[in-house]
Amino acid sequence: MSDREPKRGLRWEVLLHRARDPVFVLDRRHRLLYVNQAWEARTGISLDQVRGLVCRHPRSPGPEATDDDLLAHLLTAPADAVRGQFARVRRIHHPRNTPGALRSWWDIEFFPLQLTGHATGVLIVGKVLPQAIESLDPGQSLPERLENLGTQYRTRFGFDLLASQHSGMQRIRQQARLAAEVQVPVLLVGEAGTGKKTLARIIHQGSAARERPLATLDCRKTPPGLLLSLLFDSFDGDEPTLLRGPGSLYLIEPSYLPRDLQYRLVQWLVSQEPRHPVPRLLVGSRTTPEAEVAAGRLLPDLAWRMATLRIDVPPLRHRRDDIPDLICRIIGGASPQPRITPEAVAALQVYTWPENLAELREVLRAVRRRTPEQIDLPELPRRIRDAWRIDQDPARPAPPSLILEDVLQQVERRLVQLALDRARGNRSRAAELLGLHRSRLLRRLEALGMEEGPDETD
Amino acid sequence: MRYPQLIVFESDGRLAAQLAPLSTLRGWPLREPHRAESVLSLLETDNPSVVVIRCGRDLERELSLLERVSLEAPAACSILVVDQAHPRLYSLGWQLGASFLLSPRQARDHLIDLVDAHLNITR
Repeated sequence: MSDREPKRGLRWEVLLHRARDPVFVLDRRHRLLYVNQAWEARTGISLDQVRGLVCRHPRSPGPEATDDDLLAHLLTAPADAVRGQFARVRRIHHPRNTPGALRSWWDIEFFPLQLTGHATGVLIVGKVLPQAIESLDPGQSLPERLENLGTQYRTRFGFDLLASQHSGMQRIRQQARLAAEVQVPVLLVGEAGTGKKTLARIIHQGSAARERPLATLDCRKTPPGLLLSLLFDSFDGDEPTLLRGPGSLYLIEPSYLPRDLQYRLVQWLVSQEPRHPVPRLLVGSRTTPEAEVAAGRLLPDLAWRMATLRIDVPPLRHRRDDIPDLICRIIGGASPQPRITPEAVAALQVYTWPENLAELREVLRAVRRRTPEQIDLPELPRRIRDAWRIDQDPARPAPPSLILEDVLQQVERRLVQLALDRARGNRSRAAELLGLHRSRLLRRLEALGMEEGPDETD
Repeated sequence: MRYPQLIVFESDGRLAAQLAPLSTLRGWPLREPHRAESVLSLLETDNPSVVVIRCGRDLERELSLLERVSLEAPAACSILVVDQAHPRLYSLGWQLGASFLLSPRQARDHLIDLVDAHLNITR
């Protein structure tokens, strides 16, 4: 980039030099007189390199055009501007001979400059449009900043995420390392919310296929027609399918695949075409393949082929000692960093977590929305506080409250929830059902701690 | 009680128009935020959600949103609808954690069924 400073006395240069968008000035003979810092920063081309360039290229440059020809075409004033009128055009600019330069669309405004009625030049302001898909060549790499997005995302999934005091998780970490080193199908078995998808990402990121993507396919929630299209058809020609493009494919609950697709998947596993890069298969399931085969939902051939290596992921209740570390990991990136009290940690360790890590994440997010700076026992959901209370005194379950205020509050809570359910979350309608003014219902929701969830207004 | 919601992030309203009859039929709110922060704010409620992102007009903005949805709302289903075929773009969509990646043809043929299948399970 040029370190050129505008000369003193040339006020228009000083004014234009720091404009956010590229600015150019042509003299009356359409020669390039000035470019500003935004242009130099964008292209690395200084004014000295292009000063005097004649910008009279009305026709699109051919394949033999130089970068100077392309720039001259970009800045060629349209007929209106030549006649002294403001003009705006949209043009594409692709300096083919400049390393790393990409095709981009520009909105260009031409402001004719006049002095005492005589044309003296043209001021040109260029605005580069956001990178759109039309500006990419199919065989071209994406801009570096887009590629960096993918790199930054996938590097989050390292084996350090599996650090644990639980012996079972330590074994899983070793198994995951082994799975990353070998190119065989891997089956991950565990309850919902135990982190199978994250484990699949960790295995993929540790494998030789990490430079290609990990694609996922949830077989439970995908219509059969789309399953067929995603797995075995091509996008509009030769685009990769899920069985050709990615480095790994994570299939969720393959027992939900229609029978004919299961057959085709077995055929694919048996006869993989060597000329195409083939993704490694990772499979996630809540039940064992034996149970699915016994229930008639999974082909035996597919069951044993997808489970060359099997990893059983334990539920959260079997690894309570990991909960403090998991809490830190979940809220670690938060700002401000919330303080969590020892009582809250103890209560979170007592609870059974039927929905595992997913539920823990949801609870922490909900508490942080209410009290961003601290997570304390009273802020936790009632089911967790109740479990904690029972754990503290297992011989004597908490007696039902006889305090009138408590009982009335429970009844009110149930009625309000019933009204909200009938009104599908619409608080105005719920207030009507309860015979209340909307503002009073909102106050009661806040007092009852029920203000979570959006107001589903039409 | 949690209520499903459908979020569509695009510039011209076409995908939202395609999904509007389904949202009306099922009673699911259909939201069309124009800012990434608004999308993420809607996902903070932890309601079962499907986020449809149209990818093609401003790639950096659209793909950055996909990344943030994958990281900050992993339970949400993210559907990336790509305007036209580009192999690297498909790869990047998968890398950034898209639940589904659809071509225009697949979106035309299957988007409604896909959204219905996903949100219906949670009712």
